[in-house]
Amino acid sequence: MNDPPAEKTRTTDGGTVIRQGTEGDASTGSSELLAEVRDLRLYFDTDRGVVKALDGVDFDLYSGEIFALVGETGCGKSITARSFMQLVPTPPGRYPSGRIQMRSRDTCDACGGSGCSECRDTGNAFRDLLSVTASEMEHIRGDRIAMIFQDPEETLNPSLTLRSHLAEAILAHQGEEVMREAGVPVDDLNGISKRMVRRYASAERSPLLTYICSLPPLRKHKSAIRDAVRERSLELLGQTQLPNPKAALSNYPHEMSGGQLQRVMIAMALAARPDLLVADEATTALDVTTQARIIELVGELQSEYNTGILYITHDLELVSDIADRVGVMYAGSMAEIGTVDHVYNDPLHPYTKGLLNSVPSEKTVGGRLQGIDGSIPDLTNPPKGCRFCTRCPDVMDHCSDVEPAITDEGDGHEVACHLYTDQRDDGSLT
Amino acid sequence: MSQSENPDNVTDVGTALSSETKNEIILQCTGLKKYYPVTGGVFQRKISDVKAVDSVDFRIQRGDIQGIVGESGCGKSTLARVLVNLNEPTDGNIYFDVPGDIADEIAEIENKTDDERTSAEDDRLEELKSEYEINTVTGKRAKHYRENVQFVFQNPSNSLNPRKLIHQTVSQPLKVHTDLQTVEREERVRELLNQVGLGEDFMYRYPHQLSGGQKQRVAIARAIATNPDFIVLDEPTSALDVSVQAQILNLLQDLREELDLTYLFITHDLGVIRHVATNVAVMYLGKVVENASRSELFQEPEHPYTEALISSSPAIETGGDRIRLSGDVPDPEDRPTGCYFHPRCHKSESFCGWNGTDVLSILQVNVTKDERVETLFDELNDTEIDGYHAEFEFTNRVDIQRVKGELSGEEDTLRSHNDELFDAVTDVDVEGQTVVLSFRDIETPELIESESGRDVACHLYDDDYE
Repeated sequence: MNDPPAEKTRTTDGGTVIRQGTEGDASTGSSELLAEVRDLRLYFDTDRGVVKALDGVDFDLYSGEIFALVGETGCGKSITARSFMQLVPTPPGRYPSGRIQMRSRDTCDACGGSGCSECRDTGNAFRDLLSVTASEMEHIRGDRIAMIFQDPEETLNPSLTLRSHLAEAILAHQGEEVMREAGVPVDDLNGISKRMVRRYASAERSPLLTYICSLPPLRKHKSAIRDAVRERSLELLGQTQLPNPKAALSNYPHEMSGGQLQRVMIAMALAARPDLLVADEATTALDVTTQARIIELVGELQSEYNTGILYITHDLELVSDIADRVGVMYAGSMAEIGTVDHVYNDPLHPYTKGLLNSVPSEKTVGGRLQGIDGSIPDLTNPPKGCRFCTRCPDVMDHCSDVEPAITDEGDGHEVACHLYTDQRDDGSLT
Repeated sequence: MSQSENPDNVTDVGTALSSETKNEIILQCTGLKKYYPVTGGVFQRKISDVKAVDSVDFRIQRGDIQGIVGESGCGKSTLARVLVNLNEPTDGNIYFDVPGDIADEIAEIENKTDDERTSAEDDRLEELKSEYEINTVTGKRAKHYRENVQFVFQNPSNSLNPRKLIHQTVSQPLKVHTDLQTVEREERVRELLNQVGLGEDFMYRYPHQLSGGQKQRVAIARAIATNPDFIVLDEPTSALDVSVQAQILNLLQDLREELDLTYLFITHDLGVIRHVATNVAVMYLGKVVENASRSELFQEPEHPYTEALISSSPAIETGGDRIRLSGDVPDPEDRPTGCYFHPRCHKSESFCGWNGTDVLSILQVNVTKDERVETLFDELNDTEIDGYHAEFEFTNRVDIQRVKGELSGEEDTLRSHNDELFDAVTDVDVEGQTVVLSFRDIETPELIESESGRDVACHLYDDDYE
């Protein structure tokens, strides 16, 4: 077998290689590169040693697509997602290397919007989410990237009504627009009054605040803002098809079911029309009938706003139903990336094959499941070379020495396995 | 006695534990109910019941794997706990290990109402109950039941004592049910751990040193320690990853063949149940709505709920469009009238048990979508719904005759959202500003045999309703 073309091979060790693969062609034409993750490494310093939770993760995300990250417990899919929003506490975590380049709404400085290699031909500047400051992150979080978590009952504050939750999301991300719409001269107000008005509007009411807001310069604005926020909240809830949104606004989280709360979470996440929606096991806690409707809703909203969705789940069947592309993670590294079609019908990595063979399907009824032997490795001391080598049915001698590079097997179907690297034909290594 | 001489002995004791005679029916329950009281008011008096399990009948043949599926809150776990006597049933009988002819006899007597039964039949039932009914049996029969029924819980991290070593956990049932000496018990534990694929190394570890899959293996080893006939598995793989789930499912299949076990397998994962079960019962709000063999159920579901459940599950390849159920599972404390599933059903007819609650929910769901509904909803002062009788009181601002037309379905505003509901309206009346609606009085469907010979609880399959 010939060596694969050099430009299609990407190494996991360098941060300098700019991808030239054909991955983008696999998704729809209108989608543009939204974010690229390169060589992401995340280590946790613990008493037992360094846990290498992520060790060289690379993938791309496009707007308007659903990219699913699948893998078993502890494979690092959730912390990859959380890294997008700087939600991993550092320390104990630290990023020894890696970048998460996300497209911003500013034009690219290097080319002025005409498209260059710096901005990946999108015309927008790319920013590294790992190196932005905390205050910059505040504007990215929620505004540009929104997140839906697994358990809405634990994510929402039990002591606040849904009105307060939504008002907070709306005012944090669209505060100025909403106030302007309500006829509040935001630009004329000074800093303190502006903050007071905001706080009043977000229903965060203390006796002092209520008193201040009932004094002349602010008095005339308060009801206008509240009406505008209410209007916008109803609009958002209406989009999520929540029954009786008017009554729901004054409900507390415990008064609603899990599926209804997840709709509220989606409404909040969409308040700012983010470019990227991260869904971390968003439907795992729900029943299948509810899950089906939430997924449908997410899909509808995604096509409306052309949002990119990073969908984290361990449910392989769900992914085959909803996602455009899928990345399979194993023990902190990416094993295989490709379109759902490619990965499910023609899996390349032995881990992907094992995973798919573990799923009970029509063919396995009453019989045995192939599954994968063994269990996931301890990440403080992962196996040398390929991390899957201890459980791999196709293991070769050099698997436990050399970490496999990612190779593109055509149409953006990438795999990190020695079965597909050129080392396979190298006599000295096999 | 040295350990090397022991194994044969131990296995003997192991087999001696199993029942002497193998009866066909491993478990039969009739009219099984489990209600939990809801208290309220100043004196915390009982005001209603949550009917977690409501009149469930089924029978499990020896060697079968009976699956139970349903959404959360449908009562499947409560049913499991009642069957293994962890909770006492409110009403109903559970017969364990019954010969086939006697099971039929029991069913025949129990199908009769109290008035129809003769005193001879009553006496016979009492006699059979003292022999087989798990809450009535005493002495040897009770011990036989306890030895032969075991349970595997969903979350192995919670079901293993964190302060006990694995061998202590696994030998606990042996301590209770056998006369084995310490050394013999240890030998048996070693044998059991090997059987579930763990090996002796695990004997002196604590649960926290094990992964989820390994813990579930320990739980299974504990369950098979006394060589039981029947194991209830309550979501045994839900907390596990898919590759580990595959290992555990394989293990369960192997053990079943080796030890001649019968399983009751509870899960919400239709892919898993299709893989393992021989028979599947589908539960909805405390009732079994369909009970059929696996192939029948998955190829041709009869109850609309089963159909929707299978269709919504990404685990099942449907090829075509998927059915989307509207609304959420209703509050089990306040279940819909008639068929509990009718408000969400995609095949509902006028005889499914519609009432005022459904009218109200049409108003609520469409309040932001339809302006005419919105005016109607905003002017609604008060509602009183009692079974198939409902009163809607409106403010003085509306023309009550027009509203009457809307609520009775003569006008199109509400009828366009649900035709069947308004076909079920039998009577409309106006009292002042109040519209009084009456609906067809429909009974909750019970399991009946459909044309294809399986049990289904749906009026669509009942010739009395058209």
